[in-house]
Amino acid sequence: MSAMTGTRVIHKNILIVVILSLLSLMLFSETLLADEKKALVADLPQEEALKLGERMYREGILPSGQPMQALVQGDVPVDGTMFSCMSCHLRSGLGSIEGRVITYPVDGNTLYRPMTKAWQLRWISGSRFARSTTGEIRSAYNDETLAFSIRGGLNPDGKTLNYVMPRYPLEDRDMEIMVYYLKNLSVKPSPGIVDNKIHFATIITEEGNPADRETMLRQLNTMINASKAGRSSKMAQQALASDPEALMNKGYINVSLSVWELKGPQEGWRKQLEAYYANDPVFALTGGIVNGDWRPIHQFCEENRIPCIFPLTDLPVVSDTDWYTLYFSKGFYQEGEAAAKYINSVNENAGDIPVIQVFRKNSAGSAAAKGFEETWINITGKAVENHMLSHTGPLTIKYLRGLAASNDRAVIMLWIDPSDLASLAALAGMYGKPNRIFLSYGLLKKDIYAIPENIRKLVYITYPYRLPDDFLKYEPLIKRQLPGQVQKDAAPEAQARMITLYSTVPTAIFMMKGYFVRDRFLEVLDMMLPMKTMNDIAPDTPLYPRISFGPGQRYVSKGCYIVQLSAGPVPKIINVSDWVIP
Amino acid sequence: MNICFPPAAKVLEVIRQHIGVLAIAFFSIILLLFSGMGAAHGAEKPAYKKSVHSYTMPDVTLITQDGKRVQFNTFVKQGKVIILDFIFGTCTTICPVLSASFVSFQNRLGPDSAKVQLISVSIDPEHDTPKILKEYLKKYRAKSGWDFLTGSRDSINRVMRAFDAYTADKMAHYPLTFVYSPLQDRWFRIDGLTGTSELMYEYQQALKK
Repeated sequence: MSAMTGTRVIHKNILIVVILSLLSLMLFSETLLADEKKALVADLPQEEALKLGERMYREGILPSGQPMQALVQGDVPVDGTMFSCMSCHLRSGLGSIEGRVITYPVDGNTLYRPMTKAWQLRWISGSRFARSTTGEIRSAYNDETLAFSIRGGLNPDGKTLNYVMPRYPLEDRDMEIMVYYLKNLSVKPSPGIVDNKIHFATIITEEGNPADRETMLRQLNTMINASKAGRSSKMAQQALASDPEALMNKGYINVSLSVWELKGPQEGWRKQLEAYYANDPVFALTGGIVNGDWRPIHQFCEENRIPCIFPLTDLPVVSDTDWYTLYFSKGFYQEGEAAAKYINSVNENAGDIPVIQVFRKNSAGSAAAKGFEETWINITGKAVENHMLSHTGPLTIKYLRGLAASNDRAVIMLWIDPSDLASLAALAGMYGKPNRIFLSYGLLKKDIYAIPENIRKLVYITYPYRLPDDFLKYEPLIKRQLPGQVQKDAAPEAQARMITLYSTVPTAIFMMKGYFVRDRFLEVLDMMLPMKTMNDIAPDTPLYPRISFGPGQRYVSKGCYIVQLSAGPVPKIINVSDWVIP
Repeated sequence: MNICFPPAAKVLEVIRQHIGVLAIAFFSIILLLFSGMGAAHGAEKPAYKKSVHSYTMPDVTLITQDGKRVQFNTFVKQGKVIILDFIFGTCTTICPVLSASFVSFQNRLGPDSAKVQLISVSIDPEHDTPKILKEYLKKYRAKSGWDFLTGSRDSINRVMRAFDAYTADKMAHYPLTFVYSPLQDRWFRIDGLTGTSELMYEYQQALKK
């Protein structure tokens, strides 16, 4: 009996072992299966899911191609084509503050951690609007509660979200993709954040004004050194050494800079940029002076998602949708644009006025002509007669006369070089002279003062800067801000632009508050205050009377005066339009 | 006692299936509970403040999305109910909601939408060209009767000041909607974001004598 029992026990034990091992085998295979499953999100490879999630988040388009549908404010239907998650939470997901409406971050790190009062204080600190937090602390989200929240508007503790947040009744599969996207949104710092440093590069070419280049490089170096000097006290240094992360979270970080020099013709720049970037991954580009079009660098930045802040160029890429380069202005294009707006603003039926444009084949003249033509067609729906000068010699009197005689009602845009100015005088005494000529200060600079008195009444000039008398007030300031650095030969434009850069970029680095994500860098710039004349002097923007930022806006100086020269031996510049011509 | 491998796996498989069903049932119940809660919350009206004013309209020229010039003070006195807000083309949070509510209001009115004039005034005239205004309205599928105006900085400032809605910085603006009743010749100032029904209600109030 006992032997029998013994055998039974053994049998029983074997049985248990077998069952257990079987179970563990099954469990193991389950985990294997789970691992395989992990690689797929809603039956899609992770990469694919992220792409579809990005489209939902940014464009409001479902994986099916249909717009996302939602209800906002209780009963206002919205669909993805009107606005998307990105409209309020921004590209980085790190949120926005506008007026009294606070849009909290929805990046993976913030969502999947509890929201504390301390976190909120850190996030809103420095904001111009939010004086106090809304006090909505919450537990961490998980995949389920997040899906719940997007559909039903409840946070993980069951509290109702503000009705400004739309409720999205997503299908399960779409929701899985959305949740996966948010879980991964901005969870890692962007490239270029190494050893508690944020790394930048600036771009130069051999050709071009060496004094401008020198001024720019020196000012950038001053900025880099100031990032260290800010923490030069012993206490601050000790704090940085003992807990760099804590300081970084507050927005303090050291800055470093590389200089990338491009050589040879523009066609070869792209390859050089790729090589520089591969060896030296930067967080962003800033400043930069090249001899020629900024386009190759713009495109490189766009494709690699690298912010490029304030290159010193008048030949930017003009685009409504490109994201990564923030320019001072549209440059020569903006002058052409202003001329078209001005003619429209002072004529009841501008469309009836014939317009002839003469421009040099070079990028600058073509850019001004393009700015005029696109704006003119947009406003009046009428075509423009274009004459591109292909010969290299200066504009001849004969050519100008022929032009004026061809249509004596025409307004003539002369997007020409200083060397072409001499022949202008001949127009004055002519029979059937043109009623108005437009020139560009950006193209001609101080040479415009040489325009002879007898034609000054016909001549209108686009002037894309603060007016000269006003600018004079800033000279002492520029000298003070660039101590011992003002290069005699450097253009005042380059110096003044560097002052704007210097008062913008470090603030933007700080305002990222330790979320060192490239999209966030652009977003904090977008949310910066406009700079304008206040109490007679606007130290941040000596060159332009007003610059302003805005979500997705990529040209901060948006105006341009139309001016004329006064009579007399020492002509003065007098504006005949406002800074912004509607 | 006669346990062999396949049945064991089958049993577990069955349990697994059941767990799935159980889980679905469990989550459905929770979902129902929560959606019930959501509905209960949805019944609450989002709060807004309302006050009555007699604003003086400034004599300024503004430009529509079609590039047409309009005299602002006559434009708002066309005998129709006017619903006006201040927005800008690249605004993040407030304007999309205001605009969605405008278009939803137009849709709710249907053929009656001709009886009311909706006006959005850009507070970012430097950036908001007529072209941008037009694209904006298109994006929201605005019907005729909703015009988006821009103008010189000075003109816009005068309009904002007339409605006591001036903010130096566009990003600091408030969610304001103004409703004009031609019969009562007064403006209702609505401070806070509204839903469609609320805007309908305010419109009907403005129709009264």
